[in-house]
Amino acid sequence: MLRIKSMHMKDFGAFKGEQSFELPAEEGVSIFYGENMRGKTTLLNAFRFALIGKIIGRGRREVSFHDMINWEARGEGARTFEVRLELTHAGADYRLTRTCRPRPGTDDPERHDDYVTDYYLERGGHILSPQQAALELERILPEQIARFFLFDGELLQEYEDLLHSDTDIGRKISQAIERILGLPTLTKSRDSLKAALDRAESRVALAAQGDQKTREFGNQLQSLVEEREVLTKDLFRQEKDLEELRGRKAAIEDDMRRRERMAALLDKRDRLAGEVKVLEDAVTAKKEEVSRAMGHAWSAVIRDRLATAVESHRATEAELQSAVTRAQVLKELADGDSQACPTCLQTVSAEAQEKIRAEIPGGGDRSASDDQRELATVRRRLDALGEQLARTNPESLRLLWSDLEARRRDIYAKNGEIEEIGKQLSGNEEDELKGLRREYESVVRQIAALEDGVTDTGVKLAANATYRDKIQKRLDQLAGGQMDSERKIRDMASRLHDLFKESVDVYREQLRHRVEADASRYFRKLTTEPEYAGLRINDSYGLTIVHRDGSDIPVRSAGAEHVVALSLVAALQNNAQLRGPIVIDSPFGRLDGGHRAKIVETLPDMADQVIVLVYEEELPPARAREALKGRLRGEWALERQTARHTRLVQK
Amino acid sequence: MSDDDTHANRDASVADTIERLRADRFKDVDRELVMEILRLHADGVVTENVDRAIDEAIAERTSEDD
Repeated sequence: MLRIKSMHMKDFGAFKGEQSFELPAEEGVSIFYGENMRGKTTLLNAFRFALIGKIIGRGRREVSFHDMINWEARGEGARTFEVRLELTHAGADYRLTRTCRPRPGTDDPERHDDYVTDYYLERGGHILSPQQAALELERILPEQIARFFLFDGELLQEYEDLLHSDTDIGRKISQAIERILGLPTLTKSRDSLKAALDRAESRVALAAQGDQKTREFGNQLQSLVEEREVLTKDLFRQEKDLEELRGRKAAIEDDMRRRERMAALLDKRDRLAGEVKVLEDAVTAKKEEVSRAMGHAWSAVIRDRLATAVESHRATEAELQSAVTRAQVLKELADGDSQACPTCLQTVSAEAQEKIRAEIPGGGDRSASDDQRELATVRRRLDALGEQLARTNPESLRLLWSDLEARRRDIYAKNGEIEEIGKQLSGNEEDELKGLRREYESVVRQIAALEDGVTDTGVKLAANATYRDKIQKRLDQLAGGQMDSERKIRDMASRLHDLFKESVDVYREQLRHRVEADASRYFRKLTTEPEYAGLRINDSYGLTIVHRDGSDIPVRSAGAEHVVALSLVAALQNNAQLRGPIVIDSPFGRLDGGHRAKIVETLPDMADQVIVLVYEEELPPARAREALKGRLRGEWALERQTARHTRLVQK
Repeated sequence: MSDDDTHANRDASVADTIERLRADRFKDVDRELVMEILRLHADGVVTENVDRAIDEAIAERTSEDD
């Protein structure tokens, strides 16, 4: 496995001047203690910079090289920084030196792009050529693998993504995990054999074209082989484009996640602007209503007189209604239409009817119709007076004004909020986020179109394979001995391809089970919850906690995520074809004392070389020594010299 | 366990997997040829012109059968 022997830094971040340390050769744990802002994360970045040339800050953003030159040294004229690692791997000694310096022609570097980095690698004291160095570094610790061994809180989010195999970030990480576990040996073999099979089929077609007996089929096979080549190229291009687009989508998702707060502010601002628009429309409608109501406001002056008139008209209405009813009853009785009184229902005698007829002048018709006409007139007046009286109600006008004012106040308040949000947003950020969202939508559309294209090409390739298979069978029947060798090569390539194709599936399944078993073993060591039985792995190496009753624990706290992530890192170390040291920045996160104690005890089992960066309250040195005993190999302190200068001191 | 042993075990695990499958369902495929192909694609191994090496290995094996 890869082992780090020593590190040497020059003006790297908080570490001013030249500083170095040597790590013990024995298996075990080395601890670097440092309070907040002393440079623990910087030290992790020093390993990262040396190995892969990157410096990662919060939110997985790359840090500007300009900001990584020690501030004090820069003030004194320093323009470069450097990290050198001495390593051993498979019995060979390596020295990897990576330097960052101003880009040639840049007199006054100010930005990240004003700098360039370069590195050289020595093996056994001999400097390797740039090509050899690149290949060797890729061999002993490729970037995709290094990410799993340089461990900080930022990795937690990546592991959470693994639980959702449909995310593009999850897909990328699971590919990286398969790389670390050695699957590419099989997948590369399978792909090479597919190419070998294609070439063998082409040679069979060529041989068949050369014989009169088989020429026709040979021509057909050749056409199909050519079509397959075109389709395969199409598929390769489509898959490459798809991969790039998925990568872009993952990067945008990542970027958008970092800008979540700003996105929330923008959404709130847009929502408020929508609400203001609705309120403004309502205010316009309300104003018209008020304007109409104001047109009748003059009648408030005669409100009392109107009320009196309404009252008087109501009395008249009642009197007239009574008179009309009486006249109708009397007329009915006089006419003899009914012998029963409609009021008391008693039978009216003929004598009484005669008396009633005598008392009604002119038969009663004229008087009754006069009363009815007058009653209708009174009612019309009452309606008009009532309507006018309602309009003069000052309360309804007040309500209208009050409503209008409330809506206006609401608009002021919302506009005030919009203004406050505006102060927190810079024009650039807003434009960038809008641009990101537009790009995201476009990328999603392109991915959907390409996925359709890939499916379509796959269907065409399958049809092509069916036709080719038929023709091959006919050719095999017709062909004589002169094609035997080509056919045997093709058949062997085909069988080899089938074997490696199945092996990929079988090996992938085995790996998943091995990682699951190892991660579960570490998880049981690390967790303080006795009812948790282990972890269950999904297709993309995401892990779910399993209760001892067999059910999944669907929701995990930040602490549980942390323990699961550590379990996965340890399991990957155990199963990796390429193994290396684990460097962990603040391994305890927000974990309680019980979990911390278990993690400390388990650290030496996670890898042969473990480097831990902590502050003393997280892991008091006395407790570390007690828990690790002989497996604690070295202790260093990150001592403050000034706010911008930290010194590494061996304890 | 030394580094070399660890590596050997991991490699054996890939090799064991494919060998079990070969012995079970692909008996007609030559074991040495399978190992040769694995070697050509091992992590960290840079083989120039892998395609030609594979074609030659398959051709050689099939001609031996004749």
